[in-house]
Amino acid sequence: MRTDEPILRIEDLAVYFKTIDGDAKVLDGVDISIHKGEVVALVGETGCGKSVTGKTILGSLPIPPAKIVRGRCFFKGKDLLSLDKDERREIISNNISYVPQDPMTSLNPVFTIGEQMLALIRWHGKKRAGLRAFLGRYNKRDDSWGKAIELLNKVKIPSPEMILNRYPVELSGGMRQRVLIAMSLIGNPSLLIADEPTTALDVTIQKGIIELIKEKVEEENLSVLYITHNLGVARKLSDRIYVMYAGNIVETAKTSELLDSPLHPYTQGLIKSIPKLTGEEFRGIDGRIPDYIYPPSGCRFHPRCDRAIEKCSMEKPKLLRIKDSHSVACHIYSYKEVTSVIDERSDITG
Amino acid sequence: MNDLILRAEGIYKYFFDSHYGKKTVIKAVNGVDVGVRRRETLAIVGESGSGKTTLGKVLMRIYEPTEGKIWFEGNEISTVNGSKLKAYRKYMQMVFQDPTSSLNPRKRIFDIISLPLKAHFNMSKRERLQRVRELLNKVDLPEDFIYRYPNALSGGQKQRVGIARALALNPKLIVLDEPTSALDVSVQAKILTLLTQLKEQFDLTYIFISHDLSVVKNISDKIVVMYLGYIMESASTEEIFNNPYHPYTKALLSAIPTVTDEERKIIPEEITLQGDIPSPSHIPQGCPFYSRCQERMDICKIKRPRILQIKEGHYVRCFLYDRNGGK
Repeated sequence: MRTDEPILRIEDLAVYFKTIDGDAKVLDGVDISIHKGEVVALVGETGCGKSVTGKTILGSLPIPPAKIVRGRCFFKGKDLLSLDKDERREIISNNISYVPQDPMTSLNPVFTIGEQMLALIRWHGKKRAGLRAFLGRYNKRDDSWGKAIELLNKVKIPSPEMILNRYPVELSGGMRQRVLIAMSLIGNPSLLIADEPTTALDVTIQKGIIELIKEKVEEENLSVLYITHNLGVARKLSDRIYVMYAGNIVETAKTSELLDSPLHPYTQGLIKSIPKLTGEEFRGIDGRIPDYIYPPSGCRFHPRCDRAIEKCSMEKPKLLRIKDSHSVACHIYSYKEVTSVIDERSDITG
Repeated sequence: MNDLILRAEGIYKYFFDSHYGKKTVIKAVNGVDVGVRRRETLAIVGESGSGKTTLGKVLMRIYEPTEGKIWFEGNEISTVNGSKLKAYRKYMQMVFQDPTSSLNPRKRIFDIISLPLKAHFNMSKRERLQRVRELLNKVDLPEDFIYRYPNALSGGQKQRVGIARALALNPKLIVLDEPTSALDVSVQAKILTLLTQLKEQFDLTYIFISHDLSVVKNISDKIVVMYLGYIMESASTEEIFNNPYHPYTKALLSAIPTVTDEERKIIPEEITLQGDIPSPSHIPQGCPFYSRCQERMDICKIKRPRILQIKEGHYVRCFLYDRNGGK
């Protein structure tokens, strides 16, 4: 259990999306905190609100249709959601960066890698760029070309000079993802939000990217929020895991503890669903992710849960700390197994 | 030999491309021999770009092989076409990777599943309705789905429709092209269980194309590892996982993201491959895997290794186990 102030702390975040049929209650009370130098994985199925969480932190949610109903998001002590636009932009652009999911569509196909990287380097943190930024590398005082090469070296791309003159289509998926990671390191960020950066890649390439991220975390003292649906990847990379279901954090613990002794029925189901090499029996979870406009009452997982009790449909469970760093939001634990119930939002950290 | 339902020998598939007069040949499949036994699940694994989907489509005769012969139940099908090929289509069906793009968004589920029935059996509408209901039951979908459109279904349900469509003609062989890679794990487990049940129920033979080795381990009897259109190693599932020989197979196994500690013990120690799979239009002269291999030797750069039987039913293409092959 760490006592120092987390670098990022999200409290009771709720984000709704306006639709014709009513508000889609996509996030409904999310609490996450990330400490310095820590890799935190946010795990959940498609459509559970992982990416919305990441985008809310980055301030890149389209508002409207999205609206932040309640909650706070402290970054280094400042609430990002209550700051005005310019202040927020400044903090985010100097501290937080983003690695997108799909390396195929995240780079502009009509500009070379160099053009895209240099533009970002020159414009970084500026609201307006002066003449120098436009003159670019023809300006002798401009060192952005050198910086780009340095960044590409950091992500272990062979012969970076050549790559800078290439178009994205000429690179492979793994290479493009490396370029995107290099671009995310431009502003020396302290927090990296990676939204499934390896989902579109082969396992062999994925392994290289994971190792690269691990290495950068150590070198640059980064904190990472790693959004993924793959528990295997989360195991390899992360220190702590948050499991998300239908816009709620249902469980959080240290990676090894969560995977070895999961408590929430959803986490247990998720781990049981993965085909194991040991040949254990695997089975899925019945049903599907609920409708967000009319979500189930009480615990949102109760219609799919095989251990649901009466209380589950009536009252929403709170995230309660069961062990030192293991918290779970489930009614079946609130009676029996809890020895010391500490319901304190800011305290739910590993 | 008789229980081989599908046999292919020396399959080559080239794609010819011309770009501003510059001609390139994409060598997707290079001399593949495979045999699938009845009621067996053969898995084809490899990275993207290794030619596994192309091989699947050649075996299905969606593509005509550039060279090589395919036998289905003893009859050669590598060059048949027209109505004769259509007759074989009844016995071989395919389930595609992306359930969203493989179902026509403008057709109802009934139309999608009954189209093969209409094309092959000339059934009346009443018969088709009955058959579609039956098929939906088989894949655990409610009957009232028949008048829905694909966009009203979730990914898992769409893939079930895709499976129902493949089952419609009572095929003997189904080629499954990464049927679960677009799905969540909780849904994937359900689909895999369904596939295993259907196999028992209808005496099916599967060719399972996948890049996910933990799925393959649980579903297949035999594994073929492909790289750049070449078979690198082929053996029974047990053999591949217990005694992998080829450095590429070892690297693939070591890259599996495992969840539990017991799994970690099964796979080989850490190997990280450098670089990417080369382009199939410029296949290296020697061993195709030379550029990324951890245990490469001088000979690998010059000469292409042959595929060699190391044990009963275990084939490897590597000079490490073929010391005389280089001379």
